Amino acid sequence: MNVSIENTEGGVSVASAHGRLDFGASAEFQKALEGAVAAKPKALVIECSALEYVSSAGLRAFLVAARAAKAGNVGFAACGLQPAVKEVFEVSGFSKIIDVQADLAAALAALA
Amino acid sequence: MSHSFRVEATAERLPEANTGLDAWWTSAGLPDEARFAFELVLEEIFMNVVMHGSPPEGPACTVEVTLDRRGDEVCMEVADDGVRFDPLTLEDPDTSTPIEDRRVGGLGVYFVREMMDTVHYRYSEGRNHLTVSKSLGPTT
Repeated sequence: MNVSIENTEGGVSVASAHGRLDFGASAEFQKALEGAVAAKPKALVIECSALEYVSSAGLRAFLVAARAAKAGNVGFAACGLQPAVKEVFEVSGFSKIIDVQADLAAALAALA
Repeated sequence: MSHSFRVEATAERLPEANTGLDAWWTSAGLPDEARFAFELVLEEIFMNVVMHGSPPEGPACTVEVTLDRRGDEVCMEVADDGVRFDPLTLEDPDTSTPIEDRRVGGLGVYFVREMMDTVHYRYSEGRNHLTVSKSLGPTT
């Protein structure tokens, strides 16, 4: 699992998640997202097209980051979910509390 | 024919449990797209045992995973010699709670229930046994 964060010209940060977000990877992922939110971008988008797996421990990281974003008035969205990851978001109800967009372009448009 | 392996119930050993499942899945020639649900369910059950199964002062307990294919169905039993506990007694989380109040606790067991077709718990010979199964759909 790794996550790289890039800042777009529009003031939106994009965190690209790669690999497996299991229990062992969740703490580092959460820290990276919290750091990205603390930098006060206009919005943070989690780009998930290379994210193969997420468990409840991984969802916790999404939840903590989304909450911090909301508290800090930073926009927040996830995009590009693979079918398995999408299923976890839907079964958990997370797709109702986190803005899920089809791809990065859609996410940037929604947060503009 | 069923396949079993044992893993010490510590967070560091979670990848080992997953590797055991993957190796069996591949050797059994099962479809990749159906593996995710079992990987997820195994992590959730395994981590539940890691968090709650071992006595605070004692050594970590041991998890034994048994995998079997019966027709178009895959069965997985996760047994542990930790503290007696039926995770199926946990209440489902409220998945409609707003973000500020949302808790992740209980979500793991909820996933086990939702992602599998059948889920059973029994306690016998000093071990918890959680048995799950899921149909892979019609095989071609």
